[in-house]
Amino acid sequence: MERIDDYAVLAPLLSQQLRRGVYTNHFMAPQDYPAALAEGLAVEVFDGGLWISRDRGDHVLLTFYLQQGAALPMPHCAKRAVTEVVWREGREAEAREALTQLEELGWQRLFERCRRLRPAAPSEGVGWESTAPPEAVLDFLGEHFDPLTGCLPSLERLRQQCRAGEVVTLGEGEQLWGVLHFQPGRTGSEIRHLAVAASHRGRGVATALLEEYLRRTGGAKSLVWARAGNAPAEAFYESRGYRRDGWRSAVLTVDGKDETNL
Amino acid sequence: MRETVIAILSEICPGVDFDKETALIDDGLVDSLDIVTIVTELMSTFDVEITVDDLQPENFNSVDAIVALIEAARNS
Repeated sequence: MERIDDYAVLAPLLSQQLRRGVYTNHFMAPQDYPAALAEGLAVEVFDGGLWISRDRGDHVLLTFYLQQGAALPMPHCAKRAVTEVVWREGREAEAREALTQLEELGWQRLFERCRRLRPAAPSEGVGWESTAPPEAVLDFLGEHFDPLTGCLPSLERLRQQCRAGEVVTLGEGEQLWGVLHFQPGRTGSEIRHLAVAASHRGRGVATALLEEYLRRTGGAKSLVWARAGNAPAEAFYESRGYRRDGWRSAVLTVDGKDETNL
Repeated sequence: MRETVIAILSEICPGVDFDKETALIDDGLVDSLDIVTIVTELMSTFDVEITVDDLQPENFNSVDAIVALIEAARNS
């Protein structure tokens, strides 16, 4: 992997991959690259594709381009790696091929996720301010989501999102009962994390968090990726107007290989 | 060109009235996850170069915007 610090170096590498039949799980808009480059981005070009690696502390998040008919090589990563192969149901041939190749290389499929959509709909409520410290929110998310696959935000990013009202919390002081963390988009938003402390489940905390989130986003279109087979989560979202929209993914991981001693 | 663009979009995202819609991405009729597939089909069909800098959602909100993107690529 070669570290890239300059978008002007990265852009041509990405543009070269835009060819008919390519499969990719790399979906960044141009304006997203400055932050990604600052956090640590590396690439590995191979015959028929490109690996892109983003540093996440103790692991890396990998995405890739794979040209039709090409073979995906194992990336050179010292750290454990995670990737998510995404497809639209009915057009999954290229994604299935990539999945097969990854598993043949030794990647382990951890779980699959389905995306659900709640169309824009009016949302009412009195609302409340979330005053929990970002440090407490991050601790809470760390307790409820796998650090490897949970896409946890950095503390700095979480500070920004708390200031922007993109973190809904319920609790007393630093003692949190539940957290909903979302990411606004152009015309809607995506729920990134929703969790309720075991001690407060069955008391309507998740519903209250969701209603406040919908109020804050003005009832705009809402997306959420939920783990396939997680019946309580699926039932929760379905009962609140979320429906599967045809997008599905598989999350895979592989151990890193420290090659510095080879 | 317009009809060809509509045919490409209909193949990737069936069931959408591409002739009339003007907020394809914003309204979620075309997903941002589809943009690379659309771009690579457009590049191949119209023999133009589209770069990663062009992968802005607003370039894909309508057939007219996509046609404008192709024409700009032809003239660049």
